[in-house]
Amino acid sequence: MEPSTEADGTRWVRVIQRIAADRDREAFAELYDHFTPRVSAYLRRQGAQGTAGDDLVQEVMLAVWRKAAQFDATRAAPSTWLFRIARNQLIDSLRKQTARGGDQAHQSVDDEETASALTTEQVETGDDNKILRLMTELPKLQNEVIYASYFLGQSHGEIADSLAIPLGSVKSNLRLAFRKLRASLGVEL
Amino acid sequence: MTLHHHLDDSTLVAHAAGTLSTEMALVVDCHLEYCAICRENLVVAEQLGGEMMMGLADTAVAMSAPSEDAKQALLASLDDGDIELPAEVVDEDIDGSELPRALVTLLGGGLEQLKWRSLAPGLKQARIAGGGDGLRVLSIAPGTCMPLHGHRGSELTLVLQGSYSDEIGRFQPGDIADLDVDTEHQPIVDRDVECICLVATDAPLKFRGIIPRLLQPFFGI
Ligand SMILES: [Zn+2]
Repeated sequence: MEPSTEADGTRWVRVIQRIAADRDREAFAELYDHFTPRVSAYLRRQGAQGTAGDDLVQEVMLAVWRKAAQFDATRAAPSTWLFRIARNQLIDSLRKQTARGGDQAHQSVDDEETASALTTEQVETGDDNKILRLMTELPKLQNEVIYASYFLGQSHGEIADSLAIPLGSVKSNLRLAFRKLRASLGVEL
Repeated sequence: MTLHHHLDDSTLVAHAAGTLSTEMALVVDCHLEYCAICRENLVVAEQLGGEMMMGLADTAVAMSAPSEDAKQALLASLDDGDIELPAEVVDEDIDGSELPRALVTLLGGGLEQLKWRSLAPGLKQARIAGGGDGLRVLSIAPGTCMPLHGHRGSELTLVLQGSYSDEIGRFQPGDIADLDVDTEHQPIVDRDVECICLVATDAPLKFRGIIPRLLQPFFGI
C-alpha cells in the first residue's frame, strides 16, 4: 500500500530511517515540526485537552524517537505508523485514567466543537488529501459514523446513542463508508 | 490458514480507531493471529486513520501546535540509547491447533490455567484474571444443542478448540462470530469434541437467576 502522496511518503521514510540508524536529532526535529501539530490536533479532537493533552502529545513524539527502529516502510506509510503510535498512547492514557477513576484530561470536546461530521472547511485545502475529500462526499450518516469513530473516538454503542440510530445501522453505515474509502486507496480485497 | 468467518469491517474500523473495549480488542487481536485477510484489512483501516490525521485543516492544526518550549524540552531530553529494537515480526498465521499468543500471555499459559465453573449441564465457563468483566471462556459439551437466540449488544465469539454449526455455517478454531445485532441463530456443537470459545461482550452480564437465564452470557438472551 502506497502513501497518498508518494514523494512526501518517501521523504518521511528516509527521515524516520535516519532517526533510527543515526539517532539524528535534526531529522527528529524535522519530523516533529511536520507531524506534531497534526498528532496534537487528532488527540485534542479525541478530548485530550489542557496540560495533560500537551503531555500526551510529547509522550507520542518521544515514543516515535524510541520506536523509530521498529518502523518498516514495507508495512506501513509514515502517517499510518504515527497514527498507530498516537492511538496506542491515547488508549494507554485513557486506561490509566480509568484505573485511577478520573477523567480530567479527556473532557468532552462538545463545548468548543459541535461538529458531528467532516465538512469541507475542516479539510486541508492545499494538500491533496483524497480520503478526507471523499469523506465530505459520503452520504451524511456514513460521514458521521466515520467521523465519530476516528475523530471523536466513540464506540459503536456511543455513536448509536449520540446519533439516536440503532446499533445495526451504525455498523452497516460504517461498513459502507469503509468500503468506499478502502476502494479509493486502491485496495481490492 | 483457511478461515470462513471473519471480523466485520465495522469492528476493524473500531479497532483501528481504538474505540473497542479492552476485552473486545483482545478477541480481535486473537483472531488476527489466525487471519492474514483481517490483518490486511486492519492496515487499511489504520491507513485511513493516518490519512485523516494528516489531512486535518491548517486552522485546527495551528491551534493545536505545541509551543517551541515544549519542542526544545523534548529535544533536550532525547537519549541516544533510548531505543526499542524491532520486535520479531510474525507473519505466519497460527493454525487451529495453537492458542493465540495474546491469550497465552494473558493466561500465563494454556487453557489448563483456567478455573472452570459449571453454569448448566454441558456448559462451563471460566473467567480470566486481569481479563476484565466482559471476557470469558466457554466450554460446551459435544453434541450440545443451544436454544435459538439473538444478540442485543456487541459480542465477539472466537472458537479456540472444537467446532459448532449454526444457520450461518460451521465455526472452527480461528473463526470468529461477529454477528449483527438482529441475527438469530441456534448453534449445535459438533459431536466429537467439546467446543471452547473466547467470548467478549461490551457490557458485563449477570449469571444469577433461574436455569434458562444461566444461558444468557453466551446467547445474550
Ligand atoms: Zn479474518
